[in-house]
Amino acid sequence: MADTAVQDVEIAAVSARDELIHVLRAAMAITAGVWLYVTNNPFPVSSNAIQRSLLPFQAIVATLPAESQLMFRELQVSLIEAETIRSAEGSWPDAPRLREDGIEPFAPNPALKTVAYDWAMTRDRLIINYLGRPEKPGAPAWLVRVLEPDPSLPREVFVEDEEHDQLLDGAVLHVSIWTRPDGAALPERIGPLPQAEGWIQLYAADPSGIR
Amino acid sequence: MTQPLIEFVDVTIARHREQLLSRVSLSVTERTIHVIVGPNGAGKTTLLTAALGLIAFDGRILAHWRRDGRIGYVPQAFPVDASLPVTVEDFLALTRQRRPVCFGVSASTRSRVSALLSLVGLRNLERRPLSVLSGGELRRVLLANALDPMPELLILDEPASGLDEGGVAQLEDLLRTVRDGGSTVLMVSHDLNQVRRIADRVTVLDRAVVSDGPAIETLALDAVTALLPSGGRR
Amino acid sequence: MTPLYQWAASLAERGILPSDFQYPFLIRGFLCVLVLAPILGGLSHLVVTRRMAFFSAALGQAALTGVAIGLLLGEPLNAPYGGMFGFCLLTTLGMVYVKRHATLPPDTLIGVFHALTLGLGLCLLVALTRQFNVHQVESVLFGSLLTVTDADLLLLVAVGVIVAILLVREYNKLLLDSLNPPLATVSGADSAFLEYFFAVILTVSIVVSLKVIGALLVEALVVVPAAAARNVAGSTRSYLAWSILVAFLAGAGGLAVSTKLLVPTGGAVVLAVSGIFFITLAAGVYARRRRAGAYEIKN
Repeated sequence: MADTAVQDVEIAAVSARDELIHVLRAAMAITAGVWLYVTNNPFPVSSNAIQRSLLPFQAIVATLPAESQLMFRELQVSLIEAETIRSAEGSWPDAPRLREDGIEPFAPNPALKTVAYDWAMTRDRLIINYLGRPEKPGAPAWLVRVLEPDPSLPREVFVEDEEHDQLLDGAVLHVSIWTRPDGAALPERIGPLPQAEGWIQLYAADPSGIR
Repeated sequence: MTQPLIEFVDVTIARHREQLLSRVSLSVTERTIHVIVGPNGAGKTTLLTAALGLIAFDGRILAHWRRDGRIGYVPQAFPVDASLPVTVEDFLALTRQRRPVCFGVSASTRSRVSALLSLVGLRNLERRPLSVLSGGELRRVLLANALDPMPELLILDEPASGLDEGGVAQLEDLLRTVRDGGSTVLMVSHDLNQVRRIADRVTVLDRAVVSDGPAIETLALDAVTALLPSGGRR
Repeated sequence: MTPLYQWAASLAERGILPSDFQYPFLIRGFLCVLVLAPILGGLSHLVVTRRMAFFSAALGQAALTGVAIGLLLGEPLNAPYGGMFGFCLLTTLGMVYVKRHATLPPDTLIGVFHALTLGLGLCLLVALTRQFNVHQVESVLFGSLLTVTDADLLLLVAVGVIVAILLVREYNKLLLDSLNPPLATVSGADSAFLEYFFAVILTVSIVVSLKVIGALLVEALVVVPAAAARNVAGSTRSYLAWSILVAFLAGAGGLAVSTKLLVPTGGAVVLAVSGIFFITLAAGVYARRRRAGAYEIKN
């Protein structure tokens, strides 16, 4: 084999100091990158600070049309009425009972030209659903869900927020109001996770309480 | 006139306040078989590791490459997980093809691997997992890996470990062929009989250079025989 | 993505796909599994070869802390990527550097980081849960398909493509370095660079997988597929193929179970992959006994 010109090379010792310098540079680059990302968020959900604390299947009702906001408020009030009956009589009122008592939206207001709904109450052990199917195609469906406490578990501490209500006997209820854009294609039964079936959970205010 | 290929100049290595090597200076002449001997803990493997640039050291290690400066290396230890499914063919292909070995070994690489294994006296072991090879077979595979392409400097740490007598003889013939082909061999060995058979130069190390020179004369020195009383393989 | 969901829903209505595919979240989940299986399954065989199982567990915990930091920095709850990527990458760099230069055994050092990040994450979470509903961070711990958005899926695909390209480029050097770092160095690889490189791509892959699998459980999907593959693989190619197949089967199976039984996705996936591991373990033992028996008959 023909020899080439001699190449003198000094074999370099491994340097922990050089490695540390590289690591620190990388760390600074990462920190700078994160700072740039956070201050110029490329995935703006909205300029509203409330939206950042919501999961994909949650929404603030103020972002919905006026008709939906009206329905939401009526359902909040009707829920209180239903809880009052439940506290007094020991059982949840069904939809015809609420209609007879004139509670909106179960008893529709004839002065308002809104979509007509067919309301039904179902119970599956501890879950109570008030389901409103629209008669008009394309209108949203509505669901009020109440989860009663499990008697086999210790009593829960009541937290005053949109997701918790309390009966007169102190029982803490988990409550939620849902809407589903396409009300026509509703299954017969609502599963234990409405969000898995396309329902959107509504809040009146930011659930995190951040101002 | 032969020139040094590798020069160690005052190489000192300390770890946890313990001196592993102290001011080691030696030259490895090109186209020779240079063997480093010494008792356990003398720093032999440490010196080789420094020559590979794998650990920090004080002093200088200079290489005077005349060809491509390629180093072939056969480590002393090559622990393999018992359940690792990497085959001999996969292992040898890692440095012989661009295609990731997880996508298969190309036909040209396959034939190259077979030729390599024949060179070291192994046949039909291509599809054998590394984990089931005997110590001697594994050492031969590592040797095959180091010899292709032929390196300018071949560094071996106890290459005869695990080999039977036939394997040792084959290894020694191979090393002579490598040297005669223009490469330089730097190795560590415990087998002084082997050293006498094949070494051109010997360095006796005991954390510092005890003696350095032609093999027969160096091993005959009183200081060396006192340091290395056993003349055969362990 | 909406046309894709509508098309899948129409196939579900016609009975060509299972009825659950009418829901976008399930289609997204299945697509996530299709992408995650080659990423995590592919990385898995290198993670196990490089003995980084515990390292992966520590990264999962670090991601939890990263979420907490991201939320404190004002990131949206459903996409605290700045905090997650930032903290996890910094933790990775720290762990690799300390592991390479400290005198303590690697598992001890990683245990220190594991404890540190978990403690920090828990303290920050307690501070956060005064402001955020604790249920909203459960999805980080255990994974929840219902929180996976189209943006998450696209990020997963993008990361998957980048990781695949980088891994293909460096694969042979990485594997050689896993077997024997000095040999890799002699062949021209930079062992230190490879160690950091692999740790970083593992970190990035784990972070994008968290929404589906969860911080507490992602380590299982990075380790068990390769462990299962080792029971039956006979070469590097089959090692990779089996790792990916096991990850896919576990992901798809876990997805199906989690939607039917309403258990966290991460838990279902981990149970599935563990079940597959024991099946391959038995299969491997059986195959070896048969081979040994055939050898005895032959001789």
